[in-house]
Amino acid sequence: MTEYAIELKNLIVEYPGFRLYVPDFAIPKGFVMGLVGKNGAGKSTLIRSMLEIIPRSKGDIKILDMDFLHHDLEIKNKIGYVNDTFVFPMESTPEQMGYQIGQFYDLFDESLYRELLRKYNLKSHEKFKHFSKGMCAKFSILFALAHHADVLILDEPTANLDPVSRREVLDLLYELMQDEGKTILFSTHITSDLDQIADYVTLIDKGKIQFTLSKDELQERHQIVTIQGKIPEEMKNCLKGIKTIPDGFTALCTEAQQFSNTDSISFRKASIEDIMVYWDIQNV
Amino acid sequence: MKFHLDAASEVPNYLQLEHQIKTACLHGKLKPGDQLPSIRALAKELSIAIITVKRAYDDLEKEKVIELRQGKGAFVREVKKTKLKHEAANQMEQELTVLLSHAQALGISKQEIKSILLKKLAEFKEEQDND
Repeated sequence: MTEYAIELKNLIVEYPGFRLYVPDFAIPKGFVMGLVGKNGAGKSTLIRSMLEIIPRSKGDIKILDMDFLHHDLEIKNKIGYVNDTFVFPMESTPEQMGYQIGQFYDLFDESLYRELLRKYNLKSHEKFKHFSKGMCAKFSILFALAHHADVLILDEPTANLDPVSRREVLDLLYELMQDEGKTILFSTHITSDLDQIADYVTLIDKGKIQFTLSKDELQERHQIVTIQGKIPEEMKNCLKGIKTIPDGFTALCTEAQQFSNTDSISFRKASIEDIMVYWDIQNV
Repeated sequence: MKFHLDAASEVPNYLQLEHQIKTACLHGKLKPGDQLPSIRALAKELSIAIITVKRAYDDLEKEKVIELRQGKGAFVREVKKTKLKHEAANQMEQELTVLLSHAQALGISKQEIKSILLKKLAEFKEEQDND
């Protein structure tokens, strides 16, 4: 019985001008994995190839210890996928979608579905064209939950939402995570969401995973360092995004736990956004 | 039992949580045998990652402050107050080190630090007497 909800090995996806290469990637069951990266870094490519929505050149994919070759339907019954596009027809209602599409799932739970709609104030007989963006995003996620999905894969689900709606989505996810059988993969630019809920964070850039770390490893190791004077020799290899400031330098230190506050060096907490930004700065 | 995490603090969330639980034990707000919230419920309540609460609970279990019972939850253990006090003192020393290095960086002299400290201690003692 594997401890991982998703396991990838040697995944390669190739487009003209872009190549995604993931030698090894795994998401532990029962936790939230945040996926961050710039536009074009490969987040959606990773997710879509992982779900066989797009083809790959090679790679082994296991979801809940099953592979698509032998367990295609079983996997699809156990996962929920939501991206930033609303996929349901605007003239339809939640009631209709529940009836029409719910049938494709073994475990579509009508009473759970109605309960979720009620709990999040979505009218089952209202057409989607009358829903706000926030309501649409919530509906997409709820629909993915109604068939008792154990793995929820969200590709920028809060992209077009206002802060209030985003907070509601986050609350929904916190509620979901009370069940330790549920796993979430959450890809987003809105890193403040991940600062809160993510247990693990993966940074992807130029088609490669730069790191996967647990939240506290991330925070212990990655800190913004301010250096007065010259950069200490032993630090040179673990600094990213070095910026010159009056009297010294500032940078992201990726092994902050090895150094301590001294007179000429001070550290402060780095948010996920800081990490993304500093990682991206090109140094000469 | 309400915990409060300071996002602006330099102390990592899991450590803040550990400190607060130990402090609660020290002050009798948490008694031996009391049940702590489940990891997931507490994560939701504090809006932090599950793994952060898990880290705090795991550390506290290692330090024998709490006991994690499979399928039941986390329970406060009998802990010697002296041990907790010793740990609280260690924690205070850590936080002081951070504070002092900041003060130094800002150019505050040892004399000034000392007088601020004595002033605060005097206020503090008054509060304690009033308890």
